Amino acid sequence: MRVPGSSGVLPGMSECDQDLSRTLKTWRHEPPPAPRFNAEVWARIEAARDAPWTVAAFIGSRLGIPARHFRWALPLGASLMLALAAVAGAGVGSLQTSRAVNDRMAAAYVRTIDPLQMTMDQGPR
Amino acid sequence: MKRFAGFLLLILAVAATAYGLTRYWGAQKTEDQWTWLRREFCLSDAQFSRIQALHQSYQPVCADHCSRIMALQQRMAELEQTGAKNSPDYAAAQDGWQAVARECNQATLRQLQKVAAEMDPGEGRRYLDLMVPHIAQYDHREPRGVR
Repeated sequence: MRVPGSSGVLPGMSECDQDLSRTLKTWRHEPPPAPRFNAEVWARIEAARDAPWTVAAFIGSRLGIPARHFRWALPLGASLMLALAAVAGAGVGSLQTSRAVNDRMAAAYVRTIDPLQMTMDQGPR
Repeated sequence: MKRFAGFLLLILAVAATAYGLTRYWGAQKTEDQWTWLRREFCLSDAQFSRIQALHQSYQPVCADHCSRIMALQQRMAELEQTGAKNSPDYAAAQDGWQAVARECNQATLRQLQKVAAEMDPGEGRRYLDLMVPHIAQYDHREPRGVR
């Protein structure tokens, strides 16, 4: 490791490097005073801790709505389970409806081509 | 535990509501037989036209069977009314009725097979599986493949 001299200039540095080194040595950053810095950091940590991991909060964060507005929302896992339950219920319902409709339509169609069913109420067998 | 039970109830309620609404909306849909047939068995225009033509051409055959069955039923009813239920005439009418019934079954099955043959093979098999059990007095031991 090379150690800079008292002027902050390392041996082998170009003139341009030496200028940069000197500028960096004299540069001072003085941030504006922030008396509530700690409190604000902790507030952000708490907000992140309290932010519910929900679909609503996720969408809200995309829309720039603070997470604290979504504390009522169900957790993401619960929302997914509810969505799954709705899809399963609708799927079973749809399947059963389809089967019932097919059966009804098939019976009605066969009645139009089956003489035995057409004459069923006409007399003895 | 109480929250978990509540959540399970909520899940059941959501599933039941989704099921009920789907069944309700499904029951509201009204479709005529031809629209249903076309949609359910993915019929092309050409297939649909041929099947409709088959149906039309079968109507006189069906009407003939109907009139023969009704005539025999009428004859049996008359014989019953005159107390001749044990007579040879009644037995003959009954035999005649059974022969016509068998003929009707065969004709109906053949008609269904003709319609199925116009469909794509998989759809045709599905059509027969759905239709054949609805034939009256059909002997379900008989083979019913597409001819």
